[in-house]
Amino acid sequence: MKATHLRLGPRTQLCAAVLLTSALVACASTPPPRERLLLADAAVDGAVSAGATELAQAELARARSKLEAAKLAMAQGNNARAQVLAEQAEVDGLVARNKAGEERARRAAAEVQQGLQILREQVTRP
Amino acid sequence: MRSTRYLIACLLLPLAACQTRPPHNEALKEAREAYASASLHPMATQAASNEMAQARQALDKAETAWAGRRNEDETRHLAYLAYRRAQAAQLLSERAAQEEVLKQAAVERERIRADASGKDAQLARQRAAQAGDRADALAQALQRMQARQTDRGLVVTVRDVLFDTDQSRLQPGAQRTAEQLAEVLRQYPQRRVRIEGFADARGSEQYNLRLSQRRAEAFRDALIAHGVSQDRIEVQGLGEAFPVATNRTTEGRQQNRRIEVLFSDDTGLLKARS
Repeated sequence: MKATHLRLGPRTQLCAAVLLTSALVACASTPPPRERLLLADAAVDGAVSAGATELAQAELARARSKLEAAKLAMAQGNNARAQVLAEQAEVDGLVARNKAGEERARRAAAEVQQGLQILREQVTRP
Repeated sequence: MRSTRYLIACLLLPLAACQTRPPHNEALKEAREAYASASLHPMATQAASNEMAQARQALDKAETAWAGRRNEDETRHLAYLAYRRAQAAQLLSERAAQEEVLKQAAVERERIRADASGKDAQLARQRAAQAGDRADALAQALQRMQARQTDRGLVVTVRDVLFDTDQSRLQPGAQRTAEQLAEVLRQYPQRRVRIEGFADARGSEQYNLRLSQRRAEAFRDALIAHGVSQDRIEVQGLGEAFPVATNRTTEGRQQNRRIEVLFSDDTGLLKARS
């Protein structure tokens, strides 16, 4: 069983150590982490709603790939690994959402300050 | 299979090392640093207190797991969660900071706009005051020449324009008036004048028209001699028309022999006689 999981390893972004943890915990027969997956799903949705598709691409991609890996792991009966991946996907989704919000505010501030600079030049120039 | 052996070795190593103080864990160290960095953000308390508490909780969980079980993989996972929660909290703080910048910029923009319109208004008042001063100066200059305000505009009347014996040379009084008018016209370059010549009723109408025309032209030539451009001056001889006094007395006729200098408005427009 352990060997099977190690062969699956390269398909995900997860490091080998996490795979091993999953394998070890899986032996204790973890229930399917459906609730965890729902939370991760919601976090990714939240990131998309916040504009992460445009404003936090890398962060959103990381969250999505972990979410997909978690779903796959659960489908294959590896609940412990699915749990780990879902937990990580959730915080990754949170980061993507907050990154999008921060990026939006940063761009707006930069734009307004640029406009302010132009206005200052107009005022000082007779 | 070599990797499997390696992983098992990794897992067993911390267990084998019987230490009182937890050994170094790189993932945990990174999570601690991320939390410390997030908590140092000036907006952390104000904008991300809940998120900071969650990050702290996640970090504590990772620390406890590492101190208790020394499980590298479990700790790496928990440290990862703590690291990302700290990062999420910091992003929230930074967003609040950027929004603050945005708000300040909007305030500043309004201030600059208000300033600018204030300056514009001040400038307009200054210009109006200057225009007023200029108008006053013109009125004073013309007052010295006994200008009259008529429904056509300001009119300066000049009597004793020409020597009776030499009808091309201005009398001294008319010469002085021409100098003053030339000075006024130099100061008010947008104004124009019409010089209207008049005669008394002695002699034929044709003669009086020619005479009045000559009076007006003599005065025009004096203005030109003092630097007034010819295209700012109109000349018209009106003969014995429009008398201002009776032609039956010497004094009356003397008053009717005159020129009238009509000033245009600011736009150079001269009103015609109705």
